[in-house]
Amino acid sequence: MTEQTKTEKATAEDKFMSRLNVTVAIIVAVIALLGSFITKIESDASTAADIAGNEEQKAYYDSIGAEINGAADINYSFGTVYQLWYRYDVQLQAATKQGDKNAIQTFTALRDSVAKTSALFDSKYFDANTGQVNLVRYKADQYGTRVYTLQEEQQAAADVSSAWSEKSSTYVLQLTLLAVAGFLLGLALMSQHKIPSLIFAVSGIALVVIITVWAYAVFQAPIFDLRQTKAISYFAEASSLGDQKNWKESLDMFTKAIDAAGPNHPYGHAYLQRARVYADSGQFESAIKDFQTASQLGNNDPTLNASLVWAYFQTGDFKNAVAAGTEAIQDAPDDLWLQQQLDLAILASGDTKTASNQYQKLLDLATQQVTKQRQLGGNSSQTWWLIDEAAFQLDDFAKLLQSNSTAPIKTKVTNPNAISKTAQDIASTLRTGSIALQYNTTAVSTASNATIGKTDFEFAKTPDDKYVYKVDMKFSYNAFETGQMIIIKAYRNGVQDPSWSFNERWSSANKAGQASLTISPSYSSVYIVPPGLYSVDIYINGQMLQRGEFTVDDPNNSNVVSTPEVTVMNDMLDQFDFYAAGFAFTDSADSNGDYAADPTFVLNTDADYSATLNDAYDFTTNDCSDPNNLTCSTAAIDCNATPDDPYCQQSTSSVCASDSTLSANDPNCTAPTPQACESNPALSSDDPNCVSSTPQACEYDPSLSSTDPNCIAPTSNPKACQYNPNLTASDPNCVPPTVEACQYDPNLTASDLNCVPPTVEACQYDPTLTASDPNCVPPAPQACEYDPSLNADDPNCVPPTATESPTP
Amino acid sequence: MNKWFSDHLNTVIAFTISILTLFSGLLGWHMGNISGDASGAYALAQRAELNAQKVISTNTMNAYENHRAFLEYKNYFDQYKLVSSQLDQAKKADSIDQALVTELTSQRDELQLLYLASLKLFPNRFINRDGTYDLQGQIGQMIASDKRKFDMNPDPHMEEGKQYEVQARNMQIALIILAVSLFCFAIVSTVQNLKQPLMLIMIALGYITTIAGMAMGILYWN
Repeated sequence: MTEQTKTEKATAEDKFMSRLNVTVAIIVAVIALLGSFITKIESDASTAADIAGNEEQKAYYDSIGAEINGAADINYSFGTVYQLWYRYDVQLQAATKQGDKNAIQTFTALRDSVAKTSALFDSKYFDANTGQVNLVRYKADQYGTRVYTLQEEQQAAADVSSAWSEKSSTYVLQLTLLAVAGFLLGLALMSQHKIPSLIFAVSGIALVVIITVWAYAVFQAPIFDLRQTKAISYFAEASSLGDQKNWKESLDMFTKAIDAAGPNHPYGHAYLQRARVYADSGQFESAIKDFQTASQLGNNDPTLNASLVWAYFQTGDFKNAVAAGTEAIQDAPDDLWLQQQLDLAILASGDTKTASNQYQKLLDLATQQVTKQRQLGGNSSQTWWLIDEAAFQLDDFAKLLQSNSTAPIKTKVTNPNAISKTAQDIASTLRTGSIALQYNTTAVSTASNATIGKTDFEFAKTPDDKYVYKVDMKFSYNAFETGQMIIIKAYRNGVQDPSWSFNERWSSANKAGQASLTISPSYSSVYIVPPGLYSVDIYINGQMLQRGEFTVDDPNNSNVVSTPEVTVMNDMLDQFDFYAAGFAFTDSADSNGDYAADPTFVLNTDADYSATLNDAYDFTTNDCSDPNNLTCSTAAIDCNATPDDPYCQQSTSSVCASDSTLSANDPNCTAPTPQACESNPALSSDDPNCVSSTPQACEYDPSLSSTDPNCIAPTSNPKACQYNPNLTASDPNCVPPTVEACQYDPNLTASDLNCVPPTVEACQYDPTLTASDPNCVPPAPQACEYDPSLNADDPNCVPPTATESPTP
Repeated sequence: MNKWFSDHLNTVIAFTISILTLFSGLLGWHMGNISGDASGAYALAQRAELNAQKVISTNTMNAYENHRAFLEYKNYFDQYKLVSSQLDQAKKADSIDQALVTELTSQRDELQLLYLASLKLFPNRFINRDGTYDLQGQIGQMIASDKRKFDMNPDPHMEEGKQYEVQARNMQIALIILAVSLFCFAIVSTVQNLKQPLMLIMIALGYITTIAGMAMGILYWN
């Protein structure tokens, strides 16, 4: 290359570098401007996120406050005012029957005055004809709808805050990348070589362009705020209607809420709640679609998965139920409800062996949870309620398979007989497991050889042979041992009635014989046994030994079968909803079935059995006149007297000592690390040579330490009490006698010689009065009889002298 | 080092820096997303814990209200039993005091009315056989019922949040490693008259940390 070419090339390169440097300098200036703009909008986004975050917190606390205040109001209105009203009303009815006019007037006035103290007696909620209240609607109007609104506003604020935070984070990232672009452009300026400079410059400029476009796109993107639409108010109203079981209105309102949110911002929670309403109203196909939509929209509610599995199961789509459940259980392995839904689907699909194993795992999981809850002092009964729910579902499932129902669940099952039998066996295992959890019978080490014969039931009926008011159960027993726990559980239409339960320890010396028990409750003298199919299970030490069944017909409707035909499987737990019970009405025609109402009494009908039934119940005597009476052969468990009783103890035997989340049988359960001895760390705390460094108290005098020289045992001749020679000095009654104060002078004792009544000075003017008497005053001076201007005791008060001579 | 090698080395390093910068930016963006997911998981855990406390509080309050109604019933029922016992004795007395029997009968009937009215106002199935009220049983039933409707278990969400946190932390470490490599390449690119052995060390260190950082970033990406 010639010198000229080299020079020309060098000049061209210099020109290029010069232009490049100018371009880079301009871009660096653009970076500075862009950076300041992005900083500003990032700050605004961050502030908006904080504001929305505060609004979320406020909405949450408002909803908690509204719920607590509302619940307190309900407790007042229903728990106090309505109860009082009802009591007065019942007494008014009785007075009316007796024709007591005064009582009628009194109770009417009392009842009506009470009704004025609560909005619950507004015509919207109170039926004056029946005396019932629509408590669910009252709750919805008072605070239910508001709470739903606040909860949705809270979630909407959280979404807005999240969106603004995301924007803010994006701006921060853009600022960071701008810094990187500046770094690259700086390298471009620093580099002496053309190609690397070009690469750095191009990279930096490209990055700046991308960031500019990106920042603009993020800035322009609107933040959707659900609170600006009517969707939340529709949602709240729909939820309240759902609580009142107004399914159609509720579904329409949820659809309105979804439409109000718009297609670009699907309202996930509304889809989820609408799915629940579809499921509750039996429209499971629609429920499945909405559950899936809600899941796709990111609703991470674990209860959604369990509900989806249940919906698939109800439609007979066991394959999808198992698939959905298996996927969901990986994220929530401790969820008992989800587990039992999945296990039921597995059983229905025909895999009885896997189902049996899975249900056993369910029981093991429940046992771990109960153990943990007991250790923490929490309420563990919620766990065995869920196990009872699982057993109920299996029994319901077995009944469905054995019936002539055309429900999808039954038609899709391939081997109903085998599956029905397995379902019943598993239900029995679950019930036994529930008993073991409730009464901690796993801690009882000895198995029982006891046997129980077939149970016979006897019914006591009202005089007109219409109602059953008492049920007695009789059975023969053998090989009973003292101390064994007898547990009796009764179920009506598959649902447990705890008031019929019995659990006591066998205390009789008899090992065999006949036993009888009035199994129906006696919390009322006019108890009427509700109609239904009853099952009674008898357990000894947690083992079920006998099951008996009886049916009570409905005398008012003999055409209806007492046991309802199963078409769609129900929940047991929902049937305990007290506010949906028979005496609190709702606007919905949908009822919870026969179980919702508590047993009634027939006090207010034309046939008043109270006089007869009062005499039938002997509440007055506690002695066991019937030697076969089970209550006479058993004794209640007194945890104060026997705190070591397994029933009273928290179950620790099945828990790993070093890790309470594991069972004792878990392979990962290692022995706990022994603690070091306080006074000698080389020893363990349970080493016999480990002496406590803390001095122990003297056993004879707790105020001294055990090493104190004065800590000596008392002598064999204890010192006599100085106040009472008949007592020892250490006797607690050896105390100084109480010194009585003088009643006339508190500064003296009663035994003081000066403790005498004070002398009472007589009045100097009137001896009949005391000196302190207010009437003890000097008498008023008398006027002189000869001269009124003088006092009687004036020396000048003398008779006038004779100054005239007598007349001739 | 000859000029040809030097120019090409600088070009390669320039490309490396560009790719490194781009990857670091993407890694940083993804780390932000993961941190956001962790926050979301912790928020769900908080929500579940608050749900649990709300369910326990409201159900306990309702159950105690039912218990109060039970105590009213028990008060009247105990009085009813007592008066029934007195009436029984009065009726069995050698000389029956009719006025007393009438009075006791009236009292008994009134008490019966009162206890039966009270009985209707709480769920009777939680009355134990020994005449007490199974308060804990009722609370357990109510909580079990609500457990199917509300997320009350924060533990899975906490676990998920912790996993996201660990992932984000590992990505941070990867970013730091990539920053070290960027520093090494920057030194090589900008410092003139860098001694050759030092330059080679910086280049080697730069590429080692680049590979390590990118590998770690890809490993913890998901």
